[in-house]
Amino acid sequence: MPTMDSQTLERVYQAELGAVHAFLSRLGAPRGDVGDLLHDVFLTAVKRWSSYDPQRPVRPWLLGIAFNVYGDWKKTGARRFEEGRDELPERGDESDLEARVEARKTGALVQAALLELDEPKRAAFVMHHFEGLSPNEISEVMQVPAATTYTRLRSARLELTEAVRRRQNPSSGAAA
Amino acid sequence: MNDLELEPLPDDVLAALGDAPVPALPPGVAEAVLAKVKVSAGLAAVAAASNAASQSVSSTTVAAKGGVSVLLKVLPVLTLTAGVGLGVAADRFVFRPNSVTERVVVERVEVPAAPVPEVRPSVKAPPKKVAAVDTLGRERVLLDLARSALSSGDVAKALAAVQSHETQFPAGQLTEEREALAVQILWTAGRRDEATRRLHAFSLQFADSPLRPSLDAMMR
Repeated sequence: MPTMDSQTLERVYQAELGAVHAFLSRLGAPRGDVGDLLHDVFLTAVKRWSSYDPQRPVRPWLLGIAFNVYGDWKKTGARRFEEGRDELPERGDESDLEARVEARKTGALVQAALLELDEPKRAAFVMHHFEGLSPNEISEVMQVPAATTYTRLRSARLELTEAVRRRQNPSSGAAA
Repeated sequence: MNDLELEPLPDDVLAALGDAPVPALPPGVAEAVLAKVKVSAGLAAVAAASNAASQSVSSTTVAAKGGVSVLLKVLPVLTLTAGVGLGVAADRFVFRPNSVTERVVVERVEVPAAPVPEVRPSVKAPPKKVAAVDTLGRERVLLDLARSALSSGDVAKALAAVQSHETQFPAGQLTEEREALAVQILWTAGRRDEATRRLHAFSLQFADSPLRPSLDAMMR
């Protein structure tokens, strides 16, 4: 049974940390807890490395672990959901401050719209749209039939469209 | 059934998703999390040994703002023995968190030459069953509770949390961390004989544990 050594861990970590972090954040993990969640995801990956098929890309496998870790973490009661938290823009060149504030607003709007989806739909949508997983890969890592994944993706797209438009134009009411 | 059957997102929604920035990690978190994973997975001793060959500072202070605070949460006092298994002089690096200054002081302690144990690059010394993913979070909550209680001086509560973990997860994924914590709690509670016995059992079960040196240092 192959085990994950330190070098392999570092290689996988450097390559996939960004994607796993983005996935957890878009799922709804608060900034203050994301470090603990990342720890649990990569520790689980080390412990379950023997179950990973090296002939296949590692990202779907890791995102499947991340989905389970996030779901379990929510059940523990340790969560501190901070939906709508308003964080200051990170320090940087003042000349692009306006653009960064605008991007942050858009990011907050998209995140709020994502959080309107129920969790399985949100996870499937994020895996598909942002991380490029195929519906079949999503079905495999979420351990559901392909038909379920297609249903979730279709529903997520409709609901997200409605949520984004409603938040972009709060006075107009329903989606176009 | 294939991807073409999925309706594309409208252009305005696609644009909003495209304009939303990719979530970025706070500075320092990536390094702190990797270090913590290595410790939890039992890979830290090997990593520390690799780093030690080029390590020349005798004492330094690392700012613990942001990411390193993650390390502080789980490692009240962490000691890594470097040089093990490389045939070089062994040094001990002690990471002492200071909750007031939010800094970690890293001290290098010279260790007299002594027979060094072989460090196998295995994840854990004894083979253990892989627990279900969904139990890891619950295990961590209990151990975090124990650490928090210990740091606030409530050893009874800390011990209760550890015993709860032992009852619920007798062969859990964080068994090694639990046993090390139990030794620390018993020692702090003044139950020195029990702490010594438990350390002996810990040493037998986790012969290569990177947590062992910090326990030795505490009980010295």
